[in-house]
Amino acid sequence: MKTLLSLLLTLLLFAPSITTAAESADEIMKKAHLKSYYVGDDGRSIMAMLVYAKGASKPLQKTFTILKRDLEEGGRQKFFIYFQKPADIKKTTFLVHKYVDQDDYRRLYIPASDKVIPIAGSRKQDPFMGSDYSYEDISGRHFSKDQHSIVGEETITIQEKKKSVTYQTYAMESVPKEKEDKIAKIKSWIDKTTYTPIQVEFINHDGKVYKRYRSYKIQTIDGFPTIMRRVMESPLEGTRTVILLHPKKTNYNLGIPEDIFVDRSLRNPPMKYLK
Amino acid sequence: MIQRFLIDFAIKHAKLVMVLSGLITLFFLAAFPSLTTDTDPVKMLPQDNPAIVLYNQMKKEFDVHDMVVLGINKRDGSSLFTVDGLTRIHKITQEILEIKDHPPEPSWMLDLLHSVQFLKEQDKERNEIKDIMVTDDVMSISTVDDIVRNAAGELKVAPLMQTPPRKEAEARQILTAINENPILQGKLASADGSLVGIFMPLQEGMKDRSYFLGEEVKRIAAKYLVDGEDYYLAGLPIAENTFGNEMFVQMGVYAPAAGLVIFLLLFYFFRSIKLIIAPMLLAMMAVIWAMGALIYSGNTIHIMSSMIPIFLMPIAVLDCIHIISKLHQSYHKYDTREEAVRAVMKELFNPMLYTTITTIVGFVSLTSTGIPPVMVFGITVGFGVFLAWLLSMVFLPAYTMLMDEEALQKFGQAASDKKSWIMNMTVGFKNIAAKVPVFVIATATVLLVLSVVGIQKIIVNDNPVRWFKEGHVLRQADQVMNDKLAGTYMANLVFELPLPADMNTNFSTTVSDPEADAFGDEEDAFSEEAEQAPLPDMKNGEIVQYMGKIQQYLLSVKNQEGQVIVGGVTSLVDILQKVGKTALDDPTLPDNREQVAQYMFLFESGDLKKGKDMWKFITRDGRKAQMWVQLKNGDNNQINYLNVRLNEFMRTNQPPTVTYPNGENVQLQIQWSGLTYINSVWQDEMVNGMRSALIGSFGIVFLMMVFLFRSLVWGALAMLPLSLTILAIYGFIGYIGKYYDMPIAVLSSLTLGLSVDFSIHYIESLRATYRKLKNFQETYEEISNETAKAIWQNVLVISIGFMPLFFAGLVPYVTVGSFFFAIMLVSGVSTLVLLPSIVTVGKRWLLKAPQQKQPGNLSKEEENESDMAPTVQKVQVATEPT
Repeated sequence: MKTLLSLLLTLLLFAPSITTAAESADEIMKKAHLKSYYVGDDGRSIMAMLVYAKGASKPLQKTFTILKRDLEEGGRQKFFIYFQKPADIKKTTFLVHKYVDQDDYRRLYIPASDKVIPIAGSRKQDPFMGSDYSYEDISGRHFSKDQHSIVGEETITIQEKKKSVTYQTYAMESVPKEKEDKIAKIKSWIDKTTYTPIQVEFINHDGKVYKRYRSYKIQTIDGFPTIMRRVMESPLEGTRTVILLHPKKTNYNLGIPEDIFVDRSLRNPPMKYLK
Repeated sequence: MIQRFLIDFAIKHAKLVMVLSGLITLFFLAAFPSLTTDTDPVKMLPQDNPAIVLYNQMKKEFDVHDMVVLGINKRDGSSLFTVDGLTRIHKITQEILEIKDHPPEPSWMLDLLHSVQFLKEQDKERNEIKDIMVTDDVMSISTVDDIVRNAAGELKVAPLMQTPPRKEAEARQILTAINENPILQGKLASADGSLVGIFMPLQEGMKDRSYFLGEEVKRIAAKYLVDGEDYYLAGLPIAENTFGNEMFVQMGVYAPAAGLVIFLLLFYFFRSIKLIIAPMLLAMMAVIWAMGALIYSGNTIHIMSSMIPIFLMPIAVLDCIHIISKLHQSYHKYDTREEAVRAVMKELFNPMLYTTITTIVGFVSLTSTGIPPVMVFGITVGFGVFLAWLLSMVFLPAYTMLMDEEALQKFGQAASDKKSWIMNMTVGFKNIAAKVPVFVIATATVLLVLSVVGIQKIIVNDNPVRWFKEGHVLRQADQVMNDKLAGTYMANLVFELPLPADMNTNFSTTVSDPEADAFGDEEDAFSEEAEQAPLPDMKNGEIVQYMGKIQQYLLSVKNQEGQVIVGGVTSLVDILQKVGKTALDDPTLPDNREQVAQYMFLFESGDLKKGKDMWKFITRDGRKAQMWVQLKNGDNNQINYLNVRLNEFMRTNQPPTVTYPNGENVQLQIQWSGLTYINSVWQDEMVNGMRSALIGSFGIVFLMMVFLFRSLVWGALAMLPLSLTILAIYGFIGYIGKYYDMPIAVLSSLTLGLSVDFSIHYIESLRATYRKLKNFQETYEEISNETAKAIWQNVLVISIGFMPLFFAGLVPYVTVGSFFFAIMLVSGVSTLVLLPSIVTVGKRWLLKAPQQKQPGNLSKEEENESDMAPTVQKVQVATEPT
């Protein structure tokens, strides 16, 4: 009798909280999405992408400057990438117009052949430049694609080079609304204060984590918390990609005009904004 | 000394000998369940062999694997690229990807045997389910990607066939796409689409599961194939592993079959089942003990050691026949059984000791080859031969002592009153030698000369697929698939630009804890110093251009018969050309580093596997590149010929030289690797090793003969039948054009070990008898009755006994059977005809009757001595070798 009463009580008490949680799950993920991919109106960063092959201690490094401009908060964005390293691909440029509900517009310029190559933008899960990141990981997976739920609140400790940093997070679970090839489920741990994703796990249809993302070195740049070091691992393949942001060459709201995100810039990069 | 001790022990403790033999046999038998096999030729070479080091390094650096290939063939030559055909191929691929290794079936037998052993740990490992294939790298129509341009003209990397097509036109389009993609062309399908290939790379260390994989794949393929279609499996790993599996079956069928025939022949000769069981038991014990010791010592059974039983059997039987034969002839002459046994053992002790030692020398000399499995083989057979001798000395007399009197009596009587055809034959041999000795010697000389000519004609060549008889499903597969596809024999050409001496190998990829140095290399990610010019590497225009040339050349090389050797070459060149053609409408190969790098970048950025397929052809640091060469023919002489031609090409077209920033000039290095190449390296080592082992043991045996007979001339005479046998057999091989391959190389030591036996017995007996009778004619009469008869019985038992091997499905077994036949016949006839002919012609020099000693009246001790030192030393001085 007593147990039945307590059960009833529990149900009464917690039932409403489940519904509110469902609403706030979407909110959390939306906030997280905006905080990590739509910081400022525009931005520029020099990034180093270090791809570690299986078992390798020495990565293959690509250094590039990335410019972006947000057209709609949580919506369209434009990117321009200028490659600096390795030396033999220097001046290679890449232009992306990102859309939420249609295929991206992608153009790659190859200076050695002086050709602009249209790249199909349909497959957002494809690897980005041979790294462990997908295009979607780089430009952000839109929160509307998944059904989100809060699993709980967890403390996540990230071991950095010299110290360990602890975050209070929402542990989230997201399931694609439409069945996808690779992703069966995404688990993410979102920092409660900054809404920065601290850790994300991509789970395949076999129930295995096939990619694991972690944020390191969160610094405030131009007033925005910015992840200076991000690591994406592919545990099943033994590979890993680290993306580093140049601490001095990462800025927001520089007033980068939208008209530089055009095909013409591929051959004549807007050096003014790249340096 | 040893002799008396052994025989005393055998006679006095006959029962104990039986019990001990049984126990020892049980002990070694217990080793058999833990038997592991290994048919990997890579393990046949010392692991520090440069070719093996390069091979292992290459597999790791480029993440490439040995492959098994499934072919699905339309017999009428029509295309499989239909909605129905591709749907089935899609399903077959799906199921193949699901294949997992199975742990061995548990059985109470194994459990029981394992419980008395110390192999539990090993077993745990064996029970894990492992992947056999590198599933990510399986190449099938439904797993590979193709670089295309979509309707909007955009570049797209997409699976060639993610889901089976719904329209026939789409199905045909897939074949067109394969034929237009140099990376896929000739691999996934024949140009006409009538044969589809599925390439299954094997996980490291899983080559010995390829037979199992093959069986699973066959089961899947059979499920989906319709009338008019066949499936085939090809690739060296499957040939080698299938051989490994079939050899056990064959061994299980043909070794007992040979045993049965030998048993029947022995029964025919000696008519006493009870007595002839002894040699059968003895042979089995020698085999079980030697093999058991081999397994206990932790060795795996490879192709060569699988032949140990079949080598040991005849040797063990030979020893017994001499004893039984002698016993058969002289049993009735003695009063007691013990006396008879002692007398026979005493008489045969010396020749048996020497035949055993010479045989052991023949096999142990194999250790000089430096090839681990050959060494193991040589030592094990040598050990087995010793065991056979020991058992003949102890087990056989003990067994005889325990037999019931009646059987022995009958056996003895049978001897005296039977005038057999065997006798007639040996008398016939004697007569030939007596009447036309010069003719015999002349014939032998002609034979010798012809043999030497024949040996010059020997073609050294091997190919594991040829170990299966014509018509074997693997031979058919080999034919059909290499006819239609680029080739099922994989080799690799490795290109390397060594770093200048003063630059350390910063680029080496060493395995380390990723977390530990996660930050290590990132510190200077943004440092400006890296602005300096990059080091020249494989991306350099002239190197890529040169690789393109090599590729063209390899495809153009034709063998002596005018056939193309290489059906397909895949490398970075193809990736660059495909990218150029599809993305930039420019099919020419880039000629400058920037263009190469940017094409590679384009491929990598579009690739669905993060450029994985490209990194199989060039290392990430750019220091090395690799070409995947598909040969249509797995014969070692084909890749050797290709290598010779490639070297010629490189002499006239020197590989490019690059200049490092420190001013050092370094030339591009090119080396062969891959399983097909490893096989040819192994063959070279084998052939050379065997040759020097044979020459070495020939020398040792000769010295032993000189020592045994205390005479250079008699020593040389003793070597004659053996030399003639070896030369005749290998000369014959040269004439009929049979390839000198691994089994034939190994058999040279057996030939030596077996064929010297007869002449030892014969000469020893001839001289002993002559000493006794001092009359040439009488001596001949007597040895024709005894020793010659025993030799001829041996010839018949072994040559006929191993005839069942002629019907074996595996060529090496047929070869072994034929060798036994030839060795016995040639060395037997040359001992029984040629030796007496020479002695007849040269008796005046050869048989100077001993003057001083009269062996008949000697005491036991003295007689023993004279056994060790037969005839007079003078002989040696008086004669010159001719």
